[in-house]
Amino acid sequence: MTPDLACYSKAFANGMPISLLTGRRAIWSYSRKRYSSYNVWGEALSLAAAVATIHEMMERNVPAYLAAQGKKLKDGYNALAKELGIDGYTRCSGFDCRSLVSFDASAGQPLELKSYVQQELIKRGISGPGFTT
Amino acid sequence: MSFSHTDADVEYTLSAYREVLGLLKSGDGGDVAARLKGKPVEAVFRKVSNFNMKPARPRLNDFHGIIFFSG
Repeated sequence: MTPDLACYSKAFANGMPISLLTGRRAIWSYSRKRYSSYNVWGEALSLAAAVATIHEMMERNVPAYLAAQGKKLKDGYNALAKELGIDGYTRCSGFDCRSLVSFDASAGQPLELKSYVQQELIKRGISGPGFTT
Repeated sequence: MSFSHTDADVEYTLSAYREVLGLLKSGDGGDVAARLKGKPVEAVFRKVSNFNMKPARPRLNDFHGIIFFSG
């Protein structure tokens, strides 16, 4: 799929503060008629970080690696839920590179279930898996 | 996912999920709240259908022509 306009946030600069709006030339050419400004106009370090990060992502085929690793996690979670017989109320869905675990209200207050699972994961040294309710 | 996540990281995460989901299952029926060490997380976004919770509408003269954006 080729979008008309696409917006990216700071991951493409490995976390440095920058965002990116890209698009087809026919649409993008309209932006030249607009005036815009912002408060980090002359900040060049993030631009350098973006160039370095994008080259690294292309050379190492990072998106394919993230999708492959993420698929192992997503499929692994769903297989585990099925094995434990709780796949009726929890599953992992979304993009392979960025999946989300969700809990159905049939099993209890979803925010409490999410909090409990996060609490127990943090005890085991795991922070930050994606959740939705 | 991060580029630094190896197969071993994925395996460890799944082994932790195995333990934690097992605990969750044993709590089927509703004592999960009692096993929380603190208050449960809350929804990040306010319900816009409840007008009492809407953020105050900015007044027009709060802006001076050019709006500055920060990343």
